[in-house]
Amino acid sequence: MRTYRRTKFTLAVITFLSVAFTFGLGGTVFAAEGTASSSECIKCHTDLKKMDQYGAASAAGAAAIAG
Amino acid sequence: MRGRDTYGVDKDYVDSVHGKIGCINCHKGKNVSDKDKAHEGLVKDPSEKDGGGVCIQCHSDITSKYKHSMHYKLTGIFNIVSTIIEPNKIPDTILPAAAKLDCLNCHASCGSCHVAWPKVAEGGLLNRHRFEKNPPMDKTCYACHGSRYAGEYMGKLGPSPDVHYEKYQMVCTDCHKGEFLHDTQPASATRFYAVRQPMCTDCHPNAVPGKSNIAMHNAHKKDEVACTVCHATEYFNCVNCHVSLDVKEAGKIKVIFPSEPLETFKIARNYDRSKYNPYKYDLVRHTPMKKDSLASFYWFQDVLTGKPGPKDLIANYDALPTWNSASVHTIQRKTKQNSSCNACHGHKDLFLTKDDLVPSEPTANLKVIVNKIPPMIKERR
Repeated sequence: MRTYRRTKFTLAVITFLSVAFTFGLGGTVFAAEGTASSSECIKCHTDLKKMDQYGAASAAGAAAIAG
Repeated sequence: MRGRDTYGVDKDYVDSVHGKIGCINCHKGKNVSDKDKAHEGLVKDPSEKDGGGVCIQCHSDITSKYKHSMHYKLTGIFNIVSTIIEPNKIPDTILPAAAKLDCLNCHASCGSCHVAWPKVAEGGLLNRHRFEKNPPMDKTCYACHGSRYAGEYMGKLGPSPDVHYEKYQMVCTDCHKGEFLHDTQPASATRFYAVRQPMCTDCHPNAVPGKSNIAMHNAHKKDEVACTVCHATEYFNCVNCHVSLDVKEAGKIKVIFPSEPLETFKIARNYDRSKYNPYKYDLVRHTPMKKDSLASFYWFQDVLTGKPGPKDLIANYDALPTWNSASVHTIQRKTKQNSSCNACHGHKDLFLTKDDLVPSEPTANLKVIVNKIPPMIKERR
């Protein structure tokens, strides 16, 4: 009975670690790919002085008559 | 506003949970330095499609409800329009095209509250692309609701701001929680006042008639008068609005207000009582729909399709009133009409009566007028 419980516990730990490793690593890889695949977009849009050159929209509240 | 306020992305956003996804994974386009090439195939609002767009991947619990919501589908507007144009049908008219040019600018996607100004405000990003869990009301709610509710709430319209804003700086989402905004219930509701929403008595349980220590509250029966009837001040109304094709700018709609706005205070009969608007007497606000408000669409349809539209587009104009239940946001504890019983009772000017109706307006207004003004009460000495 004790051996059965120990085996069950060991299996549960292995399963948990496998899931955590797989998804944790997967998430990291996705994030790295995400920002790397957008490096030029980020470089440009985070250059705030450059953004100023493109002019600005003049936001207008209450433009609508929805209520 | 500067260009950075419209298009700029903060460096700390790039390291945030959403930022780590990368621009292209949501917005498409190309990861190249040339601006025009980079923006080829760009999806400006990736959250728009099907009530959630890319947000569905992680937030399906919200988007699955939001795609049916009134904010996304504009159910109320389309229900009203389809009713008053009967027997004409929306698909046979130029209305879908007109909606795309104007009405749908107020249709809200996830991004148009949480990331950018709503389309109608044309303001670009709210806060360097940071995701705002609580949308800033002065930029988002106000952009679509500024001409009435949000405008009067913040005191930009009417005599005074709402006490909840003036005294306590409460924002829209303090009452209108995300769960109400994302999930319209009951799903069959076609009017904003009929949906699950915050009730004044949620925060003010002692104000319920029969349970109050204020005599005036107990003097009225439960569900007899809406709280606003006693606690709102004058509010803004639109009177006469016309929609036309903008002749100076092709493909644009022009909304024309030929008359002065009207500030009123009118108590009327509530002909459309429901669980969340159960009151017998409610305040009403004038809707700016005239019989000929969309008359130019006859020609508009001819220009765009080569075939004129229905001559009498608003053929069923009499079906709905132009004085409608109003969720007035000019609340004050003390108002002119609640200063005493007879500050309201016997005051015909506070009530919507036959004398307030204009002959050219719909006969459905007769359903909401008050025929017998509550008489003055003999005060005890």
